[in-house]
Amino acid sequence: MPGAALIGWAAGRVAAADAWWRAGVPALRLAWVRALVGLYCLIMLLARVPSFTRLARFEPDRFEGVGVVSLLGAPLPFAAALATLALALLGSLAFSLGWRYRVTAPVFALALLWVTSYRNSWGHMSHSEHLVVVHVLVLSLVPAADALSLDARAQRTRERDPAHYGWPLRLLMLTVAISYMLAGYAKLSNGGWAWVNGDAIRNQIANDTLRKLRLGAFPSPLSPPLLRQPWLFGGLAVGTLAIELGAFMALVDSKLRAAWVVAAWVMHLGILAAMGIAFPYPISGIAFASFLPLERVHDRIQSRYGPLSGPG
Amino acid sequence: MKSTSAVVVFVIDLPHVVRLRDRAQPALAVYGLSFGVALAMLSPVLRQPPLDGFPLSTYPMFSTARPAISEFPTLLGVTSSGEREVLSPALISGDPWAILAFETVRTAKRGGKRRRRALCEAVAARVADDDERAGVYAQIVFVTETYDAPAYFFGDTNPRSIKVHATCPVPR
Repeated sequence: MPGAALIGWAAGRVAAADAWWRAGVPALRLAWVRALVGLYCLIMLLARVPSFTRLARFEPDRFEGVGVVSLLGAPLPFAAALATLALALLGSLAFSLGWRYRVTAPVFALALLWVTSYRNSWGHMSHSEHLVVVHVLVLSLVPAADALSLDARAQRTRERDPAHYGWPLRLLMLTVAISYMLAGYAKLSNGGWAWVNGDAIRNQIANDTLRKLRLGAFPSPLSPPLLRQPWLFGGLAVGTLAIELGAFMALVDSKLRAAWVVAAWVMHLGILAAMGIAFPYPISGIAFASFLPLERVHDRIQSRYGPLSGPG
Repeated sequence: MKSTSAVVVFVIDLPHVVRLRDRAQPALAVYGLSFGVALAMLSPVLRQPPLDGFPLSTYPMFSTARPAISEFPTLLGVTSSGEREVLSPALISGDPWAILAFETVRTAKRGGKRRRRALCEAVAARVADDDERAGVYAQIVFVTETYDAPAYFFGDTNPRSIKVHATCPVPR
């Protein structure tokens, strides 16, 4: 009976996809991702304190709220803006340490969303903060503090079935893959053939470098010599598109995963070298932490330096 | 009829297939969050027009096909002998971040005569307060210069054209 065969086939595919999505991994892997992402946020927020305080000197008419901050019609009083930053800073500490996670993690995620949205509401949107905010929002809703946390040490939580920790990591990987694929799609839909043949990327770098020079800023010292080698740009463009549009391969093919992560990381180093534009989250490697078997690193550290945590 | 009953059987069987009754890890929560996050991330490109927001974005960085010949709005300091010199992002926008200086200039350029004049005067005031630059410049000029950007790096450093938007004196 073809109908029954089709049902059997479809049920088998769904079950296989379900088994893959919810395949178990050690609690430690997700916990390490949480700790690293939290630590990254702590450092990022501390580094943002000077620019955040400078916002108070900007003319209020420059304020144009983005995301959740678009609820505001005008900038917050300086003290209120600083209070949300302080809340996010404390939240990042609690998040990375896994302290009272079920309460502090969602509070931190919302505080981070607010603070980064607020900072991006003054005339320029930095695309280096989107992914880390999405990652914190996801991590705040999953059991990412069942190991390597103060909660585990105090026995406020316990390790569950490994199936609880696999799908959150795959969801984090999926968000990485989607973000890169969207970037690739934007290049093809906005730039078209000019992006593929390298003209667009060459003109982008030339425009960016000259713009910085005419504003009295410092471009990357590597960009002028690079721009004098126009034959390079076709290869750079195709490589960039292959990495961005091929991001899903890293999700579904574990053998290609490490190669894709290295390629994406090298691409960001190339952007930094050519344009002086840093994307700290991927350059730090922490954007790709969910792709890596971090519990093995944990084991190595433990075998060398002794136990890293108590129970859990 | 057969296909309808097949769909019904499939839907009825679906909870078992994805272990919906697994109390330890409800599939609805797992897949609700997973699909919700994926759809949210894709939503900016599904809108018409696509919306580059925060934290959901179309990730349009470096995606536009810029022409080789482009306009570069900026503010320059004019010395008493008439030479035009580049300033700095901090003098232009009050912040050392270059991209913010660019956005400040671009917004003022688009904002009409009054905003261009206001930015010119704000920059002149910052220059007047700057110990190193105050005595150097007599005027600030808000211009848009047009260059062949790739050719600039092969030595073609003269602008193709210059349009002056505003001029203002540096207060003494």
